[in-house]
Amino acid sequence: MIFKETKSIYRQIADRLCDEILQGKYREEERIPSVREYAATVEVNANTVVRSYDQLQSEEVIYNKRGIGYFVAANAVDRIKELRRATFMSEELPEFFSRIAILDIQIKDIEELYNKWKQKNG
Amino acid sequence: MIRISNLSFGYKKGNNIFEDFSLDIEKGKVIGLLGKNGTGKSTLLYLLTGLLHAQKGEIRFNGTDVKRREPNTLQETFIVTEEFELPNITLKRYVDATAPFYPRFSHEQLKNYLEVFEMPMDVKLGELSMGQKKKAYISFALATNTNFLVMDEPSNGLDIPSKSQFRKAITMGMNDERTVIISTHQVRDIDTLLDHVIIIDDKKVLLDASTAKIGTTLFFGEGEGNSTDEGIIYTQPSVTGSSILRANRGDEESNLNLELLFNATLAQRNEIAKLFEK
Amino acid sequence: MKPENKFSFTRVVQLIKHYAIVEKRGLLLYTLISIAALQIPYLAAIIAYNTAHTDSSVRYDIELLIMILGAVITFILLTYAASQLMNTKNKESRSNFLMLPAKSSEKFIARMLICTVGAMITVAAGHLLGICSYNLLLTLLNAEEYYHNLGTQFLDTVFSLDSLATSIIFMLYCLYIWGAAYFHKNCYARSSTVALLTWPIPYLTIVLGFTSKLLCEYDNNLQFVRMIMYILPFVTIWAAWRNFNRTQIIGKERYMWIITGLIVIYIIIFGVAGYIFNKDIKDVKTIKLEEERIERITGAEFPAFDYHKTTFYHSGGMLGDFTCSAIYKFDKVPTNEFYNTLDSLCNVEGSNWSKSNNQSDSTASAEEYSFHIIWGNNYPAPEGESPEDDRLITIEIPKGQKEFKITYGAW
Repeated sequence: MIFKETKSIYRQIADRLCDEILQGKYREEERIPSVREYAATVEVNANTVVRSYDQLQSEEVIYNKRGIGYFVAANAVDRIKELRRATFMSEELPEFFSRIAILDIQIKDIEELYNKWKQKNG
Repeated sequence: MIRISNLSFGYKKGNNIFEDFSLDIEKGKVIGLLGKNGTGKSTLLYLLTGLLHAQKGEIRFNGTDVKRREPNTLQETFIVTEEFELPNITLKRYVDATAPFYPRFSHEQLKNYLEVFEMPMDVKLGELSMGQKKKAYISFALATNTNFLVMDEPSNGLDIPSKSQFRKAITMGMNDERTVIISTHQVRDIDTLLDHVIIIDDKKVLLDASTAKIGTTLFFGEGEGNSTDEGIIYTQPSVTGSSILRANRGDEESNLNLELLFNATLAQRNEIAKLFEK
Repeated sequence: MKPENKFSFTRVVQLIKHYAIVEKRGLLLYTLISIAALQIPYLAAIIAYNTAHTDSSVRYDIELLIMILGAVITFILLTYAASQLMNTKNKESRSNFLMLPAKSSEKFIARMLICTVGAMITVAAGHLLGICSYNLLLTLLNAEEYYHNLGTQFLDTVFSLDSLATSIIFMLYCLYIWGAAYFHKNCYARSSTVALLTWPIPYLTIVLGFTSKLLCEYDNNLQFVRMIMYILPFVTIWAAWRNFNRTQIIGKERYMWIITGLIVIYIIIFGVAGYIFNKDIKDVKTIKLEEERIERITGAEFPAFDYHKTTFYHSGGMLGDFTCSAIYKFDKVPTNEFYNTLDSLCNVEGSNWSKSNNQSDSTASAEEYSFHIIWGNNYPAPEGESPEDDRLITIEIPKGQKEFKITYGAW
């Protein structure tokens, strides 16, 4: 896996797993690869993956069944979308706002462009 | 698991590479050994495996002096040297001849590692390219299941897809009992694998810390142009401007930039040493 | 002691198997080249005894030269073969070998077995093939065999007193294979040179049959030599073992000097003893027969002659058997009067004198007079000799030449 400089590696791994859950690769209540297996897939030290799993566990995206492994939580899909919405709102949106403010773009124009885009892409 | 105590060693009299050198190595870790050329990385690896005898001091593996080359130590040790020799026979015959010496050798695992490296089981070792030989040898090394695996420049000679396979194989092969020491210049090939970093120079250990500790003690950042931020330990040019190393101001998260860390440690050894003293 | 750390013959066998698989090329080369090399002495024997012209005093020198040449070539080839056996001259092979999980003593013994047993089998096979091809060549070429049963002579050598010297040399050769080829290039070159110096001397002394005298149990003066020769191999093995335990992937071995030094001591002792013994042959052990005694035994009056040199001396061992051939020289080429005397003696019935025509010999004299007598062991003794002694005399006088040959021995 190729990692970006901007984000912690363990977070990028957690994001990847979430992407895979959203794509349906791992369905709710289905078992996900063990820490070691996933570490081998992303070619990263297992301890880093442990951090990712701990993170996702605390965010209630996955849960651990003792002695058996990690599983996708029920409502994980909703949970992920919820978390990402929250991140978007708290991190990306303010940045977006400051950018359009500097560039002197009006919210009205954004909404118009968004509606046109929605029509094309459904 | 491995304890180096007061080691002194030199190839020529009066010119010691290591002087009263001590180090403890824990089990279950992937350790990166970094150092400039000629600082004795290979020498240290040879000393750890008993291929070289120290003039003073000792190295103990689980309590046994490695100098004695006892079978039960050797059964737990495997070294993948930078240059190695494989006889011109089939891999299968090589395994038949050599695997019996390693009681925990696993044919199943060998198959798995070969699959990772996309190498077939039935190959004639003499007909392989250098890179393929290396991959076969590394597969064999991992399959011996020794608790102490030493690798000297393992990713040297591997093409880019092979480096990725290498990382996969190492992570597959790790467990809580096994220690892997990788000595290399190609820091980018292994930086995601490491649990622990050791940097040596000029007969001394400049840095001996876990990657977790490094992550909480230091901060690796990217800056644009010249930042006159106080507390910067070291900067070097990068694609986005410059890479910056400074002390961590508390709970900051950043990704370990091994190359930056290495250069910084060499250039600002005292500052680095101070930060890691606690 | 942990179970894995106990000495185990199973592991020794495993090590030998490992060696055979991993270094089969070296093993094969060693066997083939050694067997080929061992054909050369037999070849040399055939060439030597069939190219030199009979009855010339130079003949024996030529024979010796060819044999020595053969020995040297054989030795060089055997050295080269040995270098192929232990392919641990570079860092990587040493690393592989040292890191193999087995006790140092197991590795040491495995390698020693490979060298000694392997060398024994190879040498035996080589000599067997040599004997066969020697006899085959003789039949094919219809050549003269000077040495009767050269092949069985080798077997005699091995199973007689000479075997002590043979086994010592053999052990040193094996140690050379094991030691020199194992370590670094410096040591290899050193040991090669030393072994090169060591080999021809003992090899020659055995081939020419001198060693038995050296080792004869009845010769008290040379007991100390034998004692040293007994001890040397064990000291060498001890030094080799200490050396082996201190092997490192890089760096010199100090104990190699001990082995080299020991081999040098061996050469000196053997060389000195050999020289002393050689002198003995020429001065004392050589039997110089006086003119008067020859005339008495042969019944012919000889023109004045004198002893020139010994060309051959062989001792059969304990029983005091020996054979000595020497060249004697007439002061002047004998007159026809002398030859006429011999002619008439040849014509006497039951005479020990006879005359032959060497048609095959293209040198000057085609005619040769020979005298042959044996006495003792129920054979009557000639005048003046005691029937208690078992002696044989053969005299060969080529017509028209100053030099003639007398062979004198006990049987």
